[in-house]
Amino acid sequence: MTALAAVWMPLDRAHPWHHDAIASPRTDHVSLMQRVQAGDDAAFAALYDELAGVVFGTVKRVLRDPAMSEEVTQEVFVELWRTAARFDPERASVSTWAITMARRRAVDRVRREQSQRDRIERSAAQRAPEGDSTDDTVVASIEAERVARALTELPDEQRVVIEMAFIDGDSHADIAERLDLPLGTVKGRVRLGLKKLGGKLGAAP
Amino acid sequence: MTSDRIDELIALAALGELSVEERDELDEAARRDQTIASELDEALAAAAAIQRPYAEDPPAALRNSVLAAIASTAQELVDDGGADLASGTPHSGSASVVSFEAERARRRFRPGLLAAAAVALFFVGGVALVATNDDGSDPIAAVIDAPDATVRSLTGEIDGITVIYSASEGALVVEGDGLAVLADRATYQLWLVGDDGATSVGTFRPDADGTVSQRFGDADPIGFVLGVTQEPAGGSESPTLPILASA
Repeated sequence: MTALAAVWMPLDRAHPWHHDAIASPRTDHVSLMQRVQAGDDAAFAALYDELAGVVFGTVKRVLRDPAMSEEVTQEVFVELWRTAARFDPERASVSTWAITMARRRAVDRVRREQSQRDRIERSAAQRAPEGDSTDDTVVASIEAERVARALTELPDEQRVVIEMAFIDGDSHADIAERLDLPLGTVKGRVRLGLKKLGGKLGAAP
Repeated sequence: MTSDRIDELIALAALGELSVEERDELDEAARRDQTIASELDEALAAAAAIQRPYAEDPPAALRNSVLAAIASTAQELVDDGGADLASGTPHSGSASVVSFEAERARRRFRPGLLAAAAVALFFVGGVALVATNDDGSDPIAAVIDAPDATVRSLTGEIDGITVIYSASEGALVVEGDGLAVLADRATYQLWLVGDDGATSVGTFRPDADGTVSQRFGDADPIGFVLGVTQEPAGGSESPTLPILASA
């Protein structure tokens, strides 16, 4: 412990910016969000820079179509701006709020724009071939490793459904059709899987 | 509500697949039971954590487009009874049912609105808004006080809009309180949504106090869903999603 303190304390003092660099993203996001709630458009621009990737990524995994994903991403950020006063940092991180909103809006768009059958066909056509997994697009990060590790600890039947839902961006109806499972079984596995992952992943920024 | 039902709703919330009714059902359960709220928060956080590493930068041009969009978008200024749950879905509030008599009474105590509505003749969204009836009576009050008037309260991301319709008057009135004040370049637009799509009723803008009272003729909302969107000034040919309020 003494050695550790000897290493880190001088570093903090000598490089005050270092503390900022390792500050919790959650703290930074909440700070920005509080300014957004006050109508600060500069803070919103900064928050956009922080969240655009996760929002667009979430939307695009559901919609596949890049142009449509851009439209929905814009809708998400406009909603985030308009409803900023409703954000409660005690309930969720800013990014969780934004990702949840992005997922919901993308699903809404799917429902509006095309039948499930059309979407499944297009999804199959555009899905990367076996062996060229979405891992190629994963940002290398500690969190990615943490997620991957947590997923491997799930029973296979839950892991497959969770991956299809949240990595492939499939709806529970899509999953049920592809795996030939009842809708209720898919929802049950999603719930159980998330419950098991909650303790491991819930504290993410 | 059974625990199985709660689990089903939480799963659908994480998947972004709750219907409006299911969302309200879950939000209500979470408000009543902190354990359910915590389970919902934890499930959504876990779902977000799985998705977060798969970030993908959007085209750079989108940034300017988003910033331009928010420049003409008003923020909700009033929290209507508590912060949003973590569902990512602004709740609809509790005012989905409005006593018509209460609405009439409330309306009568707003003489300023009557005067304002009688000031001028406008054309909005292709629908004529008449300042006074031929007999000089107030056209808005005529709808509200008509014996066959019915009222619908719209709910959604914005609350406070009611629509009163009278078949005998052949007109409807949009009434709103506590609405976000829009930038000059934006307006609200009312739509009739049916199986064949959306038909514009017209546009309306709240005043500086967030209040609106406006009559639209030649619009029969029976059998249609009423929806409100935010559009560029002058209105749009088709609704720009999301639907901010509906009934």
